[in-house]
Amino acid sequence: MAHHPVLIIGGYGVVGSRTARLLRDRHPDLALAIAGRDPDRATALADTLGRAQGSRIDLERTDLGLPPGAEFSAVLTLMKDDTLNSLRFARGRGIPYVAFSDFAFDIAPAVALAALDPGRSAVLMLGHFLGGTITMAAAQLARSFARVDAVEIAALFDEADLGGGSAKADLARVPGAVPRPLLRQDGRWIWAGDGLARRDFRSHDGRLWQGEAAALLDAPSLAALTGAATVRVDLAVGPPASRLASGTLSHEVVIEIRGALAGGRPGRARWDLIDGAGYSAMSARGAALAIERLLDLDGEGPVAPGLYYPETLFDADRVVARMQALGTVIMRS
Amino acid sequence: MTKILILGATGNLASRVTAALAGRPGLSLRLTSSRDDGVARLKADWPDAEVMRADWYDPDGLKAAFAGVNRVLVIPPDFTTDEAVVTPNVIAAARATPGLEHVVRLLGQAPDQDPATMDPAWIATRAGTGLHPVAKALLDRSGLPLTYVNVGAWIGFNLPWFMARDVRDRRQVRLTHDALRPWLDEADIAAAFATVLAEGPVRHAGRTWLLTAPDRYRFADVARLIGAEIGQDIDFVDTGDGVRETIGDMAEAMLTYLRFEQGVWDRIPDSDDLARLIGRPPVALAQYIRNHRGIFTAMPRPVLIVGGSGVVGSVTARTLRRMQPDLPIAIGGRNLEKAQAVADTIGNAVAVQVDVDRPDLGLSDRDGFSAIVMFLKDGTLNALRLAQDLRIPYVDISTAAFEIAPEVALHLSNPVAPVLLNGTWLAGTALLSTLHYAATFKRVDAVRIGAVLDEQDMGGPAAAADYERQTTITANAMILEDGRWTWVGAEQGRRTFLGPDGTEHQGQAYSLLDPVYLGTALGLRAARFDLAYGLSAGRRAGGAFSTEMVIEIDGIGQDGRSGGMRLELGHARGQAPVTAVGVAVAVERLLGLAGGPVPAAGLHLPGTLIDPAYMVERLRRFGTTINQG
Repeated sequence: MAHHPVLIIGGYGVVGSRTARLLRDRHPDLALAIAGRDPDRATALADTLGRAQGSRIDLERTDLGLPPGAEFSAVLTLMKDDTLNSLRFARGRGIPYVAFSDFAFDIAPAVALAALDPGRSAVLMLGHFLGGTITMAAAQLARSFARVDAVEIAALFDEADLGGGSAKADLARVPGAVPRPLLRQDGRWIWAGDGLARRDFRSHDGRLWQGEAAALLDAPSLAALTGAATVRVDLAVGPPASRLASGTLSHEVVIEIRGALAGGRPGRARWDLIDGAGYSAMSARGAALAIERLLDLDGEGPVAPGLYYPETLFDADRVVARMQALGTVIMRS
Repeated sequence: MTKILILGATGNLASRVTAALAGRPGLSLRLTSSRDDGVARLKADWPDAEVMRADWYDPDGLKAAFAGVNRVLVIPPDFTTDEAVVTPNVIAAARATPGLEHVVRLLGQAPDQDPATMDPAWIATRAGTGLHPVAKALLDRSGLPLTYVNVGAWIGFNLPWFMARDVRDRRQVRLTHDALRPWLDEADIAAAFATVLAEGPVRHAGRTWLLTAPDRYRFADVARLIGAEIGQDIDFVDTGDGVRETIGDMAEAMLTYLRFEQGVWDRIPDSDDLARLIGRPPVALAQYIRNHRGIFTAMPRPVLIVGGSGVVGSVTARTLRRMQPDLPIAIGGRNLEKAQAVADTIGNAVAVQVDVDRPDLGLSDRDGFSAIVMFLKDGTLNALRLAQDLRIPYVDISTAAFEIAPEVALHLSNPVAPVLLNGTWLAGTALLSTLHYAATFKRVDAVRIGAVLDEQDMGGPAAAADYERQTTITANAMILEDGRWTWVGAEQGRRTFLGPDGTEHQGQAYSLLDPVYLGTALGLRAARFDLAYGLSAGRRAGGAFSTEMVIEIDGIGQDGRSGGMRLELGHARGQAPVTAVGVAVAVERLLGLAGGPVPAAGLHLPGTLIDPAYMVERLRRFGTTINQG
């Protein structure tokens, strides 16, 4: 297995460094290129990882400011690249690309670029919550239903765990300057106004929270996958019970599905996902899984060029098994 | 203002010259037809032109048609025209018109043909090379300020007449009296006439332009080109039987004509006059066949137009009917009676009741369709799921750039249908016009599209709902600025642009797919679309609402110098007829009737599928004016 390095743009950030470590732990021989605005920080991380190099990245340039002739096996862009230069860079080399920071309303330029020449390389839109892992968990939970009517996801962020600069910049972009939250309600896609944008949910310990709907790609993915008439993702910030108990960082996600079971009986299912490693680490797992899949490091088979959402690329069972192996606790009810 | 008279403006060539001249600054048009239905059609098609009834066998009527005009176009129809009567009438009317400065006349002959030495049987056919030498001899002696445009080629629109049915039914081309003949696209010929008429006598009087093509084809070559386009083996059979079976009464005259005409091609030299007149290479025969491939293929099942009884949907159905006379159409609407009423006016159309809230759209015979076109925003995406079930193309014109994620997800979950994301200004017409002119640049850096939508020209409730939804979801818009895709707020999204009539418009950035596609496909540094909603040029001038677009392109020209281009597009009847052409061209393309075979399943944008030159030609033909400002 002689791969060129995986280029991780934003590689020393909160999610990037965790992604790089995960990939290193699982694939000691995989070459990595840690790239960011600060070459010293990139090199410092690369040195601790081994088989890695650090580079300065300049998203203003079509060559990203990288040395001429530098070759890579894939590009993982963990910061919002509003120039699309990193996507063009990947497509120019015919190598897979992961877009990690696009909200549902952001994707049109990347989709257009992919549609111009679909056979050029694989492009994974992975602006989903926690790197697509929650959508895949919901996909697995939905399998026990003959018909899915509603998929409702809620997340409780630990205030102490709001990610690094890129994540904060993404969250800051959402209110005001961009469209309303996107959700599917009673069979129709709507951009929710104030009335519909909020939803109450209970965290695992029974406390009531008010979540705010988000224009994440999870809703389109899960609606396409399950055909559910109602699909939404709501976010709230507050200290999860698990942190109050343990004093350490925690992140909680609630997945609720309503529908019909085999035989037509109405059914409900709920998973509570609790992870002491926090939001950034869970996101990093999604990013690492994406690279493993796109480069076939997991041995499931090569990935053809084209446009992908996570549910068209990942196997839900494997993703859930990996999440659990890495410390996510799933409580089923 | 120069007034141009187009005699017989419903004709195959004259109608296209009319389309190519309509809306040009400094020109006004007078159009005639000898029939009442022709007069009615011209009035409907060209509301800005003066329309008269005139018959060139009637000298006085012809003089009345000439009165007050400056230039005139004369194109006689084959097989029926008696040049010995008509041409003297034209000459007399021209002489009786004091302001007349230019007579432009079609010829179709070898440059050296002399009626005195031609076989009388040839002249008796009254067709092409048999017809025109008679007129030319008279006109040569008239002393009028003349330009001859001599079409020394077969014209593309002969293909359906002579070959299409045999290709479809027998996989054959049956013709006789073969020769190496050049072929031209009627739209290119019309564009050349338009240039001559618009530029006028100073440049053109006393000249003869020879329109021909360097590539010449035998009938077997034409059969091979058709076969290559439609993916079948088409054989040439040297026989007159095809002509006899196809054109009935006129068959013997036609065969006689071909026998004589066969000999003229050696006497028609190569010429680049056409490319010089139209400023680009003419369309080659293979491309022409591609643009009209539907005439050689079996007609698909009906295309389902959901919202086809609405304001824009019904205009689209009528436009599609004119482009594709044999294509079956299904008008889908909530109200079956309303849909039936529209279907009755279209012909070869049925009405179906459609309920987009139901997964099967409420259709009883849902398998009977070849494509689904949505004239309303389908918030359920049930119609896309149905297109996937049937594996047929799907066209969406209502989804703005920021709204596409659910459709993209649904497509990717089951990528079996060709999906055209056409949430662009007026169904891809602005985008493709931009691409057409951007191709003249070496490199394009920025595109700014400004559109004027009259407040009386919103279309029906579906269009109003799109506007309402897209502007209330967000007052913000995504634009490409300084190489970055940026969301801008209401204030930052404002841009002032000048309309074609000189009006200063306050535009507001709007997140359509036009800047998204143009920005990515052309690798731009800046791209935006701005909408000015209010008063159009038509209403400002005291008339009915019109629509306008101003497209500004900045870049580096072929000479390596930086430069800009300003394009002005408009339609005297507002946005509906422009949108109609955009959608109809998309349907032609998706059904494999024009531009190539049915596209593969996948996500498509108008720029990835449709030939920009073809769209521009169709727009002009249906009344959109396109001028460089």
